[in-house]
Amino acid sequence: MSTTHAITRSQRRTTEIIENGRNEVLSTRSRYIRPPAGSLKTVATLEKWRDAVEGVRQIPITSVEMLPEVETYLKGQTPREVARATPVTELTFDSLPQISFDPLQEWEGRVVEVKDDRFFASLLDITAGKHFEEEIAEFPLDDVSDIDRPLLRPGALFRWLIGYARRSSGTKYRVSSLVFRRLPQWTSVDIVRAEAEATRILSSVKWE
Amino acid sequence: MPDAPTADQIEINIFGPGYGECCLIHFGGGKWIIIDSCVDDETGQPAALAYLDKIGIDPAESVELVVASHWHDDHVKGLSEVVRRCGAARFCSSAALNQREFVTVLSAYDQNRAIAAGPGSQEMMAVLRLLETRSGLGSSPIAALSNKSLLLVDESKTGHGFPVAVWSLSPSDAQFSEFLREIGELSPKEGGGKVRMTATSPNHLSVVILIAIGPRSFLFGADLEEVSSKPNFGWSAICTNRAWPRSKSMFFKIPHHGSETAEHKPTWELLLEKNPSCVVTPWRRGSTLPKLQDVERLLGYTNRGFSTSNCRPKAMPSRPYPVQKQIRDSRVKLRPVGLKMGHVRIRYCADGTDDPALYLSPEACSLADLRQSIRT
Repeated sequence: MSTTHAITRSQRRTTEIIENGRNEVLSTRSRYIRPPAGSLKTVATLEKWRDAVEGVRQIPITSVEMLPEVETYLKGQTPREVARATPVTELTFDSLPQISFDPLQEWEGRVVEVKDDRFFASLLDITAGKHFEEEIAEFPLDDVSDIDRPLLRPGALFRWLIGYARRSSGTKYRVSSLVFRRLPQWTSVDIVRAEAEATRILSSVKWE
Repeated sequence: MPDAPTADQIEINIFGPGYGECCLIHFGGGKWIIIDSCVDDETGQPAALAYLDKIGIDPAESVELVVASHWHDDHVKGLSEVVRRCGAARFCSSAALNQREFVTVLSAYDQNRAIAAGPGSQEMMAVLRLLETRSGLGSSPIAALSNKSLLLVDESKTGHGFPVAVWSLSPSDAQFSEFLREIGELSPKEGGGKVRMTATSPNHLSVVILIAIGPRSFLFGADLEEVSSKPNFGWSAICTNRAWPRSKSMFFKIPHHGSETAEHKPTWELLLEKNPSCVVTPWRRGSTLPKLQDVERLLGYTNRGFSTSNCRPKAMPSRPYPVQKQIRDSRVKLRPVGLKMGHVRIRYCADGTDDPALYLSPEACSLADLRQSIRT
Protein backbone atom coordinates (compact mmCIF):
# COMPACT_ATOMS: atom_id res chain seq x y z
CA MET A 1 0.00 0.00 0.00
CA SER A 2 1.44 3.34 -0.83
CA THR A 3 2.05 5.90 1.84
CA THR A 4 0.14 8.60 0.16
CA HIS A 5 -3.04 6.63 0.38
CA ALA A 6 -2.38 5.57 3.94
CA ILE A 7 -1.71 9.06 5.17
CA THR A 8 -4.61 10.58 3.32
CA ARG A 9 -7.05 8.10 4.69
CA SER A 10 -5.76 8.52 8.17
CA GLN A 11 -5.72 12.27 7.97
CA ARG A 12 -9.31 12.33 6.95
CA ARG A 13 -10.41 9.90 9.56
CA THR A 14 -11.89 10.99 12.78
CA THR A 15 -11.64 8.30 15.36
CA GLU A 16 -13.63 8.09 18.43
CA ILE A 17 -11.61 6.78 21.27
CA ILE A 18 -13.25 5.63 24.39
CA GLU A 19 -10.76 5.81 27.17
CA ASN A 20 -11.39 5.59 30.85
CA GLY A 21 -15.04 5.93 30.20
CA ARG A 22 -14.73 9.36 28.52
CA ASN A 23 -15.48 10.12 24.89
CA GLU A 24 -12.59 11.86 23.22
CA VAL A 25 -12.35 12.82 19.61
CA LEU A 26 -9.07 12.41 17.85
CA SER A 27 -8.87 14.28 14.62
CA THR A 28 -5.77 14.38 12.53
CA ARG A 29 -7.02 17.67 11.20
CA SER A 30 -7.35 19.34 14.56
CA ARG A 31 -4.14 17.89 15.97
CA TYR A 32 -5.57 18.06 19.42
CA ILE A 33 -7.30 15.81 21.86
CA ARG A 34 -9.65 17.41 24.24
CA PRO A 35 -8.38 16.14 27.55
CA PRO A 36 -10.67 15.57 30.50
CA ALA A 37 -8.86 18.12 32.66
CA GLY A 38 -9.65 20.95 30.24
CA SER A 39 -6.10 21.85 29.14
CA LEU A 40 -4.97 21.19 25.59
CA LYS A 41 -2.44 18.47 25.02
CA THR A 42 -0.58 18.18 21.76
CA VAL A 43 -0.81 14.75 20.33
CA ALA A 44 1.06 13.17 17.56
CA THR A 45 -0.57 13.35 14.18
CA LEU A 46 0.46 11.64 11.00
CA GLU A 47 1.64 14.96 9.74
CA LYS A 48 3.93 15.39 12.68
CA TRP A 49 5.04 11.82 12.37
CA ARG A 50 6.07 12.46 8.80
CA ASP A 51 8.02 15.51 9.85
CA ALA A 52 9.72 13.47 12.48
CA VAL A 53 10.73 10.79 10.02
CA GLU A 54 12.11 13.40 7.75
CA GLY A 55 14.02 14.86 10.66
CA VAL A 56 15.67 11.53 11.33
CA ARG A 57 16.37 10.53 7.78
CA GLN A 58 16.83 13.98 6.22
CA ILE A 59 14.62 12.98 3.33
CA PRO A 60 10.93 13.42 2.83
CA ILE A 61 8.61 10.49 3.11
CA THR A 62 6.34 9.61 0.29
CA SER A 63 5.92 5.90 0.57
CA VAL A 64 5.34 3.91 3.71
CA GLU A 65 3.23 1.01 4.61
CA MET A 66 0.23 1.24 6.79
CA LEU A 67 1.34 -0.69 9.82
CA PRO A 68 -0.20 -1.26 13.23
CA GLU A 69 2.33 1.18 14.63
CA VAL A 70 0.50 4.00 12.92
CA GLU A 71 -2.61 3.15 14.77
CA THR A 72 -0.54 2.95 17.95
CA TYR A 73 0.93 6.32 17.15
CA LEU A 74 -2.48 7.80 16.74
CA LYS A 75 -3.17 6.85 20.24
CA GLY A 76 -0.37 8.97 21.60
CA GLN A 77 3.07 7.50 21.04
CA THR A 78 5.81 9.96 20.31
CA PRO A 79 6.51 10.65 16.68
CA ARG A 80 10.13 9.66 16.76
CA GLU A 81 9.35 6.22 18.13
CA VAL A 82 6.85 5.60 15.41
CA ALA A 83 9.20 6.88 12.81
CA ARG A 84 11.90 4.45 13.78
CA ALA A 85 9.40 1.66 13.77
CA THR A 86 7.97 2.37 10.35
CA PRO A 87 9.71 1.16 7.25
CA VAL A 88 10.16 3.51 4.35
CA THR A 89 9.68 1.95 0.95
CA GLU A 90 9.71 2.93 -2.70
CA LEU A 91 11.30 6.28 -2.22
CA THR A 92 12.01 7.79 -5.62
CA PHE A 93 13.15 11.24 -6.58
CA ASP A 94 10.28 11.89 -8.93
CA SER A 95 7.66 11.06 -6.39
CA LEU A 96 8.94 13.33 -3.67
CA PRO A 97 6.33 15.79 -2.50
CA GLN A 98 6.83 19.31 -3.71
CA ILE A 99 5.68 21.93 -1.28
CA SER A 100 6.35 25.07 -3.30
CA PHE A 101 7.18 26.10 -6.82
CA ASP A 102 8.79 29.34 -7.94
CA PRO A 103 8.37 29.69 -11.70
CA LEU A 104 11.20 31.28 -13.63
CA GLN A 105 9.73 30.85 -17.09
CA GLU A 106 6.32 30.00 -18.43
CA TRP A 107 5.06 29.37 -21.94
CA GLU A 108 1.68 28.50 -23.37
CA GLY A 109 2.16 25.83 -25.98
CA ARG A 110 0.06 24.63 -28.87
CA VAL A 111 0.84 21.29 -30.44
CA VAL A 112 1.34 21.63 -34.16
CA GLU A 113 2.67 18.24 -35.13
CA VAL A 114 3.21 14.85 -33.48
CA LYS A 115 5.83 12.45 -34.81
CA ASP A 116 7.05 9.04 -33.67
CA ASP A 117 9.32 10.07 -30.83
CA ARG A 118 8.78 13.83 -30.57
CA PHE A 119 6.28 16.55 -31.04
CA PHE A 120 6.44 20.15 -32.20
CA ALA A 121 4.71 23.02 -30.52
CA SER A 122 4.36 26.70 -31.04
CA LEU A 123 5.14 28.65 -27.87
CA LEU A 124 3.85 31.92 -26.50
CA ASP A 125 6.16 33.40 -23.89
CA ILE A 126 3.86 34.24 -20.98
CA THR A 127 6.70 35.46 -18.78
CA ALA A 128 7.79 38.04 -21.34
CA GLY A 129 4.18 39.13 -21.93
CA LYS A 130 4.33 38.37 -25.66
CA HIS A 131 1.27 38.65 -27.86
CA PHE A 132 2.27 36.09 -30.46
CA GLU A 133 3.86 32.71 -30.59
CA GLU A 134 7.49 33.43 -31.35
CA GLU A 135 9.21 30.15 -30.67
CA ILE A 136 8.91 26.62 -31.93
CA ALA A 137 9.92 23.79 -29.62
CA GLU A 138 10.68 20.19 -30.36
CA PHE A 139 9.96 18.03 -27.30
CA PRO A 140 10.89 14.39 -26.78
CA LEU A 141 7.67 12.42 -26.55
CA ASP A 142 9.03 10.89 -23.35
CA ASP A 143 8.52 14.22 -21.64
CA VAL A 144 4.78 13.75 -21.81
CA SER A 145 3.40 11.81 -18.89
CA ASP A 146 1.38 8.71 -19.68
CA ILE A 147 -1.75 10.31 -18.35
CA ASP A 148 -1.37 13.19 -20.80
CA ARG A 149 -0.60 11.08 -23.87
CA PRO A 150 -4.21 10.83 -25.05
CA LEU A 151 -4.34 14.62 -25.10
CA LEU A 152 -1.39 14.93 -27.41
CA ARG A 153 -2.67 15.93 -30.83
CA PRO A 154 -2.50 19.01 -33.06
CA GLY A 155 -4.33 21.87 -31.41
CA ALA A 156 -3.80 20.57 -27.86
CA LEU A 157 -2.78 23.26 -25.40
CA PHE A 158 -0.31 22.97 -22.56
CA ARG A 159 1.77 24.97 -20.16
CA TRP A 160 5.50 24.56 -20.01
CA LEU A 161 7.01 25.70 -16.75
CA ILE A 162 10.60 25.96 -15.64
CA GLY A 163 11.36 26.91 -12.10
CA TYR A 164 12.54 25.89 -8.68
CA ALA A 165 10.62 23.48 -6.50
CA ARG A 166 11.19 23.05 -2.79
CA ARG A 167 10.55 19.95 -0.78
CA SER A 168 9.32 19.88 2.76
CA SER A 169 12.88 19.19 3.82
CA GLY A 170 13.91 22.50 2.30
CA THR A 171 15.76 20.99 -0.62
CA LYS A 172 15.60 23.20 -3.70
CA TYR A 173 15.75 21.75 -7.18
CA ARG A 174 15.17 22.90 -10.75
CA VAL A 175 12.27 21.39 -12.66
CA SER A 176 10.73 21.50 -16.11
CA SER A 177 7.07 20.62 -16.23
CA LEU A 178 4.68 20.05 -19.11
CA VAL A 179 1.05 20.23 -18.10
CA PHE A 180 -1.56 19.54 -20.72
CA ARG A 181 -4.85 21.32 -20.38
CA ARG A 182 -7.85 19.09 -20.04
CA LEU A 183 -10.40 21.03 -21.99
CA PRO A 184 -14.04 20.16 -21.61
CA GLN A 185 -15.87 18.20 -24.24
CA TRP A 186 -18.20 19.74 -26.74
CA THR A 187 -21.73 19.60 -25.47
CA SER A 188 -25.01 19.82 -27.30
CA VAL A 189 -25.48 23.22 -25.63
CA ASP A 190 -22.25 24.50 -27.22
CA ILE A 191 -23.36 23.34 -30.62
CA VAL A 192 -26.93 24.61 -30.34
CA ARG A 193 -25.66 27.99 -29.17
CA ALA A 194 -23.26 28.22 -32.11
CA GLU A 195 -25.98 27.23 -34.57
CA ALA A 196 -28.25 29.89 -33.12
CA GLU A 197 -25.62 32.59 -33.51
CA ALA A 198 -24.86 31.49 -37.06
CA THR A 199 -28.55 31.64 -37.92
CA ARG A 200 -28.90 35.08 -36.35
CA ILE A 201 -25.86 36.53 -38.14
CA LEU A 202 -26.72 35.09 -41.53
CA SER A 203 -30.29 36.33 -41.31
CA SER A 204 -28.97 39.85 -40.64
CA VAL A 205 -26.00 40.04 -42.96
CA LYS A 206 -27.03 39.90 -46.59
CA TRP A 207 -24.17 38.90 -48.84
CA GLU A 208 -23.98 40.06 -52.39
CA MET B 1 7.42 60.64 -41.80
CA PRO B 2 6.40 59.18 -45.18
CA ASP B 3 4.32 61.31 -47.48
CA ALA B 4 0.93 60.39 -48.87
CA PRO B 5 0.67 59.63 -52.60
CA THR B 6 -0.80 62.30 -54.82
CA ALA B 7 -4.28 61.73 -56.27
CA ASP B 8 -2.88 60.62 -59.62
CA GLN B 9 -0.35 58.15 -58.22
CA ILE B 10 -0.89 54.45 -57.79
CA GLU B 11 0.77 53.10 -54.69
CA ILE B 12 1.26 49.45 -53.78
CA ASN B 13 2.31 48.69 -50.22
CA ILE B 14 3.13 45.19 -49.05
CA PHE B 15 3.70 44.58 -45.35
CA GLY B 16 4.93 41.41 -43.80
CA PRO B 17 5.62 39.04 -42.32
CA GLY B 18 5.09 40.38 -38.74
CA TYR B 19 2.29 38.01 -38.04
CA GLY B 20 0.95 37.59 -41.55
CA GLU B 21 0.88 39.86 -44.55
CA CYS B 22 -1.11 42.80 -45.85
CA CYS B 23 -1.48 44.69 -49.11
CA LEU B 24 -2.55 48.34 -49.09
CA ILE B 25 -3.26 49.92 -52.45
CA HIS B 26 -3.92 53.51 -53.37
CA PHE B 27 -5.79 53.28 -56.68
CA GLY B 28 -6.13 57.03 -57.18
CA GLY B 29 -8.19 59.96 -56.01
CA GLY B 30 -7.25 59.38 -52.37
CA LYS B 31 -9.03 56.01 -52.29
CA TRP B 32 -7.56 52.80 -50.96
CA ILE B 33 -8.05 49.04 -50.89
CA ILE B 34 -6.80 46.76 -48.12
CA ILE B 35 -6.22 43.08 -48.81
CA ASP B 36 -5.69 40.98 -45.66
CA SER B 37 -4.25 42.20 -42.43
CA CYS B 38 -1.12 41.65 -40.42
CA VAL B 39 0.11 43.19 -37.22
CA ASP B 40 3.50 44.40 -36.25
CA ASP B 41 4.99 42.13 -33.58
CA GLU B 42 6.51 45.13 -31.89
CA THR B 43 3.47 47.41 -31.73
CA GLY B 44 0.55 45.01 -32.07
CA GLN B 45 -1.01 47.46 -34.57
CA PRO B 46 -2.53 46.41 -37.90
CA ALA B 47 0.09 47.43 -40.44
CA ALA B 48 -2.27 49.08 -42.93
CA LEU B 49 -3.90 51.29 -40.30
CA ALA B 50 -0.55 52.25 -38.80
CA TYR B 51 0.69 53.33 -42.23
CA LEU B 52 -2.45 55.31 -43.07
CA ASP B 53 -2.26 57.03 -39.69
CA LYS B 54 1.36 57.89 -40.37
CA ILE B 55 0.65 59.57 -43.67
CA GLY B 56 -2.39 61.37 -42.32
CA ILE B 57 -5.13 59.44 -44.09
CA ASP B 58 -8.41 58.74 -42.33
CA PRO B 59 -9.31 55.11 -43.09
CA ALA B 60 -12.94 55.71 -42.20
CA GLU B 61 -13.41 57.82 -45.31
CA SER B 62 -10.64 56.73 -47.64
CA VAL B 63 -10.80 52.94 -47.73
CA GLU B 64 -13.28 51.63 -50.29
CA LEU B 65 -12.77 47.89 -50.00
CA VAL B 66 -11.40 45.49 -47.39
CA VAL B 67 -10.70 41.97 -48.63
CA ALA B 68 -10.02 38.92 -46.48
CA SER B 69 -8.36 36.54 -48.90
CA HIS B 70 -8.93 33.61 -46.52
CA TRP B 71 -9.31 32.98 -42.81
CA HIS B 72 -5.88 31.59 -41.94
CA ASP B 73 -4.13 33.30 -39.04
CA ASP B 74 -1.41 34.83 -41.16
CA HIS B 75 -3.86 36.82 -43.29
CA VAL B 76 -6.42 38.12 -40.83
CA LYS B 77 -4.54 39.28 -37.73
CA GLY B 78 -6.06 42.61 -36.80
CA LEU B 79 -8.72 42.35 -39.51
CA SER B 80 -11.63 43.12 -37.19
CA GLU B 81 -9.90 46.35 -36.17
CA VAL B 82 -9.38 47.20 -39.84
CA VAL B 83 -13.06 46.60 -40.62
CA ARG B 84 -14.12 48.55 -37.56
CA ARG B 85 -12.08 51.61 -38.53
CA CYS B 86 -12.85 51.46 -42.24
CA GLY B 87 -16.49 52.24 -41.69
CA ALA B 88 -17.30 53.20 -45.28
CA ALA B 89 -15.52 50.26 -46.90
CA ARG B 90 -17.25 47.25 -48.34
CA PHE B 91 -16.05 43.96 -46.96
CA CYS B 92 -15.24 41.04 -49.20
CA SER B 93 -14.25 37.48 -48.46
CA SER B 94 -14.78 34.09 -49.97
CA ALA B 95 -18.32 32.79 -49.91
CA ALA B 96 -17.40 30.52 -46.98
CA LEU B 97 -18.48 33.23 -44.59
CA ASN B 98 -22.06 33.06 -45.75
CA GLN B 99 -22.22 29.31 -45.25
CA ARG B 100 -24.18 28.36 -42.16
CA GLU B 101 -21.97 25.36 -41.37
CA PHE B 102 -18.79 27.40 -41.43
CA VAL B 103 -20.20 30.24 -39.35
CA THR B 104 -21.43 27.65 -36.84
CA VAL B 105 -17.90 26.25 -36.60
CA LEU B 106 -16.41 29.71 -36.08
CA SER B 107 -19.00 30.59 -33.49
CA ALA B 108 -18.56 27.34 -31.57
CA TYR B 109 -14.82 27.79 -31.27
CA ASP B 110 -15.16 31.46 -30.49
CA GLN B 111 -17.84 31.16 -27.82
CA ASN B 112 -15.70 29.00 -25.63
CA ARG B 113 -12.90 31.34 -24.59
CA ALA B 114 -11.59 28.68 -22.22
CA ILE B 115 -9.81 27.48 -25.31
CA ALA B 116 -7.62 30.00 -26.94
CA ALA B 117 -9.45 29.74 -30.22
CA GLY B 118 -7.29 30.22 -33.24
CA PRO B 119 -6.91 33.93 -33.83
CA GLY B 120 -8.03 33.44 -37.43
CA SER B 121 -11.41 32.14 -36.39
CA GLN B 122 -11.70 34.75 -33.64
CA GLU B 123 -10.97 37.55 -36.08
CA MET B 124 -13.46 36.30 -38.62
CA MET B 125 -16.13 35.93 -35.98
CA ALA B 126 -15.43 39.46 -34.75
CA VAL B 127 -15.78 40.69 -38.34
CA LEU B 128 -19.11 38.88 -38.75
CA ARG B 129 -20.44 40.44 -35.56
CA LEU B 130 -19.37 43.86 -36.80
CA LEU B 131 -21.11 43.26 -40.10
CA GLU B 132 -24.21 42.24 -38.18
CA THR B 133 -24.26 45.55 -36.32
CA ARG B 134 -23.95 47.37 -39.63
CA SER B 135 -26.56 45.39 -41.49
CA GLY B 136 -29.07 47.65 -43.16
CA LEU B 137 -26.84 50.69 -42.69
CA GLY B 138 -24.81 50.49 -45.88
CA SER B 139 -23.77 48.25 -48.69
CA SER B 140 -23.65 44.51 -48.21
CA PRO B 141 -20.49 42.45 -47.94
CA ILE B 142 -19.39 40.71 -51.10
CA ALA B 143 -18.85 36.98 -51.46
CA ALA B 144 -15.86 36.54 -53.74
CA LEU B 145 -15.88 33.92 -56.47
CA SER B 146 -13.96 33.49 -59.68
CA ASN B 147 -14.54 36.19 -62.28
CA LYS B 148 -16.59 38.40 -60.01
CA SER B 149 -16.51 42.18 -60.21
CA LEU B 150 -16.04 43.69 -56.75
CA LEU B 151 -15.61 47.39 -57.37
CA LEU B 152 -15.93 49.80 -60.28
CA VAL B 153 -14.81 53.41 -60.00
CA ASP B 154 -15.56 55.92 -62.70
CA GLU B 155 -12.59 57.74 -64.27
CA SER B 156 -13.94 61.07 -63.04
CA LYS B 157 -13.30 60.02 -59.43
CA THR B 158 -9.86 58.50 -59.65
CA GLY B 159 -7.64 61.55 -59.95
CA HIS B 160 -5.67 60.15 -62.89
CA GLY B 161 -8.41 59.90 -65.46
CA PHE B 162 -8.50 56.11 -65.73
CA PRO B 163 -11.37 53.91 -64.55
CA VAL B 164 -10.66 51.34 -61.87
CA ALA B 165 -12.06 47.81 -61.79
CA VAL B 166 -11.43 45.25 -59.08
CA TRP B 167 -12.07 41.56 -59.70
CA SER B 168 -11.87 38.43 -57.67
CA LEU B 169 -10.40 35.59 -59.74
CA SER B 170 -10.89 32.77 -57.26
CA PRO B 171 -12.01 30.53 -55.62
CA SER B 172 -13.34 28.44 -58.44
CA ASP B 173 -16.64 26.61 -58.15
CA ALA B 174 -14.77 23.32 -57.79
CA GLN B 175 -12.66 24.70 -54.96
CA PHE B 176 -15.70 26.00 -53.18
CA SER B 177 -17.43 22.64 -53.44
CA GLU B 178 -14.35 20.99 -51.98
CA PHE B 179 -14.41 23.43 -49.09
CA LEU B 180 -18.02 22.60 -48.30
CA ARG B 181 -16.99 18.98 -47.99
CA GLU B 182 -14.13 19.93 -45.68
CA ILE B 183 -16.28 21.87 -43.26
CA GLY B 184 -17.38 18.60 -41.72
CA GLU B 185 -13.85 17.93 -40.49
CA LEU B 186 -13.80 21.23 -38.64
CA SER B 187 -17.22 20.87 -37.06
CA PRO B 188 -17.26 20.19 -33.32
CA LYS B 189 -18.80 16.85 -32.42
CA GLU B 190 -20.77 16.40 -29.24
CA GLY B 191 -18.60 14.55 -26.73
CA GLY B 192 -15.42 15.27 -28.64
CA GLY B 193 -12.56 16.97 -26.84
CA LYS B 194 -12.09 20.66 -27.43
CA VAL B 195 -8.88 21.81 -29.01
CA ARG B 196 -7.77 25.04 -30.53
CA MET B 197 -9.08 25.47 -34.05
CA THR B 198 -6.28 24.74 -36.46
CA ALA B 199 -6.03 25.54 -40.12
CA THR B 200 -5.26 22.19 -41.59
CA SER B 201 -6.84 22.55 -44.98
CA PRO B 202 -4.92 23.82 -47.98
CA ASN B 203 -5.43 27.33 -49.21
CA HIS B 204 -8.26 26.33 -51.54
CA LEU B 205 -10.44 29.30 -50.73
CA SER B 206 -7.85 32.02 -51.26
CA VAL B 207 -9.25 35.02 -53.05
CA VAL B 208 -6.93 36.27 -55.79
CA ILE B 209 -7.53 39.94 -56.62
CA LEU B 210 -6.92 41.76 -59.87
CA ILE B 211 -6.95 45.56 -59.88
CA ALA B 212 -7.21 47.07 -63.35
CA ILE B 213 -6.43 50.78 -63.59
CA GLY B 214 -6.87 51.92 -67.15
CA PRO B 215 -4.48 49.87 -69.28
CA ARG B 216 -2.48 48.65 -66.28
CA SER B 217 -3.27 45.88 -63.91
CA PHE B 218 -1.94 44.53 -60.65
CA LEU B 219 -2.31 40.95 -59.43
CA PHE B 220 -2.45 39.93 -55.77
CA GLY B 221 -1.97 36.19 -55.42
CA ALA B 222 -2.98 35.65 -51.76
CA ASP B 223 -2.07 32.07 -50.77
CA LEU B 224 -3.52 30.36 -53.80
CA GLU B 225 -1.69 27.14 -54.57
CA GLU B 226 -1.65 24.98 -57.64
CA VAL B 227 -3.17 21.50 -57.60
CA SER B 228 -1.60 19.83 -60.59
CA SER B 229 -4.04 16.94 -60.66
CA LYS B 230 -7.08 19.21 -60.68
CA PRO B 231 -7.40 21.63 -63.60
CA ASN B 232 -10.40 23.32 -61.99
CA PHE B 233 -8.36 24.27 -58.94
CA GLY B 234 -5.73 26.85 -58.21
CA TRP B 235 -3.89 28.85 -60.82
CA SER B 236 -4.86 26.49 -63.63
CA ALA B 237 -8.51 27.38 -63.07
CA ILE B 238 -7.70 31.09 -63.21
CA CYS B 239 -5.69 30.79 -66.41
CA THR B 240 -8.35 28.78 -68.22
CA ASN B 241 -11.48 30.58 -67.07
CA ARG B 242 -10.62 34.19 -67.68
CA ALA B 243 -13.53 36.58 -68.03
CA TRP B 244 -11.97 39.79 -66.75
CA PRO B 245 -10.10 42.40 -68.85
CA ARG B 246 -7.22 40.56 -70.45
CA SER B 247 -4.42 43.00 -69.86
CA LYS B 248 -1.30 41.49 -68.38
CA SER B 249 -0.30 42.62 -64.93
CA MET B 250 2.79 44.68 -64.27
CA PHE B 251 2.81 43.81 -60.58
CA PHE B 252 2.46 40.45 -58.81
CA LYS B 253 2.13 39.82 -55.10
CA ILE B 254 3.66 36.38 -55.21
CA PRO B 255 1.30 33.76 -53.81
CA HIS B 256 1.85 31.63 -50.73
CA HIS B 257 5.18 33.06 -49.69
CA GLY B 258 6.84 31.99 -52.91
CA SER B 259 6.35 28.29 -52.24
CA GLU B 260 6.78 25.63 -54.89
CA THR B 261 3.17 24.58 -54.35
CA ALA B 262 2.04 27.94 -55.71
CA GLU B 263 4.29 27.76 -58.76
CA HIS B 264 2.48 27.76 -62.10
CA LYS B 265 4.47 28.74 -65.15
CA PRO B 266 1.47 29.55 -67.39
CA THR B 267 0.43 32.20 -64.87
CA TRP B 268 3.71 34.02 -65.51
CA GLU B 269 3.24 33.71 -69.24
CA LEU B 270 -0.48 34.46 -69.56
CA LEU B 271 -1.27 36.85 -66.74
CA LEU B 272 1.91 38.83 -66.23
CA GLU B 273 4.03 41.18 -68.26
CA LYS B 274 7.60 40.12 -68.85
CA ASN B 275 9.87 41.01 -65.96
CA PRO B 276 7.07 42.26 -63.70
CA SER B 277 7.57 43.92 -60.36
CA CYS B 278 7.02 41.25 -57.69
CA VAL B 279 6.94 41.13 -53.93
CA VAL B 280 7.16 38.05 -51.76
CA THR B 281 6.31 37.89 -48.06
CA PRO B 282 8.48 35.27 -46.37
CA TRP B 283 7.09 32.88 -43.74
CA ARG B 284 9.14 31.57 -40.84
CA ARG B 285 6.67 30.00 -38.45
CA GLY B 286 6.95 26.26 -38.57
CA SER B 287 7.74 25.82 -42.21
CA THR B 288 10.26 28.04 -43.99
CA LEU B 289 9.20 29.89 -47.13
CA PRO B 290 10.54 30.76 -49.58
CA LYS B 291 13.34 28.23 -49.74
CA LEU B 292 16.54 28.95 -51.63
CA GLN B 293 15.32 27.10 -54.72
CA ASP B 294 12.09 29.11 -54.63
CA VAL B 295 13.99 32.38 -54.68
CA GLU B 296 16.15 31.17 -57.55
CA ARG B 297 13.05 30.12 -59.47
CA LEU B 298 11.47 33.54 -58.94
CA LEU B 299 14.65 35.26 -60.06
CA GLY B 300 14.29 33.37 -63.32
CA TYR B 301 11.07 35.28 -63.96
CA THR B 302 12.07 38.76 -62.88
CA ASN B 303 14.93 40.94 -61.81
CA ARG B 304 12.49 43.36 -60.22
CA GLY B 305 11.54 41.15 -57.33
CA PHE B 306 11.53 42.19 -53.70
CA SER B 307 10.97 40.67 -50.34
CA THR B 308 9.40 42.31 -47.30
CA SER B 309 12.04 40.59 -45.17
CA ASN B 310 15.68 39.75 -45.54
CA CYS B 311 14.95 36.59 -43.50
CA ARG B 312 17.68 37.17 -40.97
CA PRO B 313 16.51 35.13 -38.04
CA LYS B 314 15.47 36.80 -34.85
CA ALA B 315 17.80 36.30 -31.93
CA MET B 316 16.72 33.92 -29.20
CA PRO B 317 15.27 35.86 -26.31
CA SER B 318 17.66 36.39 -23.44
CA ARG B 319 16.68 34.30 -20.43
CA PRO B 320 18.16 33.64 -16.98
CA TYR B 321 20.93 31.06 -16.86
CA PRO B 322 18.92 28.47 -14.87
CA VAL B 323 16.19 28.58 -17.52
CA GLN B 324 18.67 28.12 -20.35
CA LYS B 325 20.34 25.27 -18.52
CA GLN B 326 17.03 23.55 -17.83
CA ILE B 327 16.06 23.84 -21.50
CA ARG B 328 19.32 22.14 -22.45
CA ASP B 329 18.94 19.48 -19.77
CA SER B 330 15.37 18.79 -20.90
CA ARG B 331 16.60 17.96 -24.43
CA VAL B 332 14.07 20.43 -25.84
CA LYS B 333 15.11 22.09 -29.08
CA LEU B 334 13.93 25.67 -29.14
CA ARG B 335 14.19 28.11 -32.01
CA PRO B 336 12.75 31.55 -32.70
CA VAL B 337 10.08 31.88 -35.35
CA GLY B 338 8.80 34.82 -37.24
CA LEU B 339 10.65 37.72 -38.72
CA LYS B 340 10.64 41.41 -38.14
CA MET B 341 7.98 43.08 -40.26
CA GLY B 342 9.15 44.90 -43.35
CA HIS B 343 7.54 47.13 -45.93
CA VAL B 344 7.90 47.37 -49.71
CA ARG B 345 6.28 50.33 -51.42
CA ILE B 346 6.09 50.93 -55.16
CA ARG B 347 4.62 54.11 -56.57
CA TYR B 348 3.52 54.28 -60.18
CA CYS B 349 2.65 57.25 -62.23
CA ALA B 350 -0.73 56.26 -63.68
CA ASP B 351 0.08 57.43 -67.19
CA GLY B 352 3.33 55.46 -67.21
CA THR B 353 5.56 58.45 -67.97
CA ASP B 354 7.92 57.94 -64.99
CA ASP B 355 9.70 54.90 -63.65
CA PRO B 356 8.14 53.42 -60.54
CA ALA B 357 9.54 54.78 -57.29
CA LEU B 358 10.63 52.10 -54.86
CA TYR B 359 10.90 52.28 -51.09
CA LEU B 360 12.27 49.40 -49.00
CA SER B 361 12.20 49.47 -45.22
CA PRO B 362 15.44 48.33 -43.51
CA GLU B 363 14.03 44.80 -43.12
CA ALA B 364 13.10 44.50 -46.80
CA CYS B 365 15.44 43.65 -49.65
CA SER B 366 15.64 42.61 -53.28
CA LEU B 367 15.15 38.94 -54.21
CA ALA B 368 18.84 38.77 -55.12
CA ASP B 369 19.75 39.93 -51.63
CA LEU B 370 17.26 37.50 -50.15
CA ARG B 371 18.97 34.66 -52.01
CA GLN B 372 22.29 35.74 -50.58
CA SER B 373 20.81 36.02 -47.09
CA ILE B 374 19.32 32.53 -47.23
CA ARG B 375 22.60 31.08 -48.50
CA THR B 376 24.53 32.54 -45.63
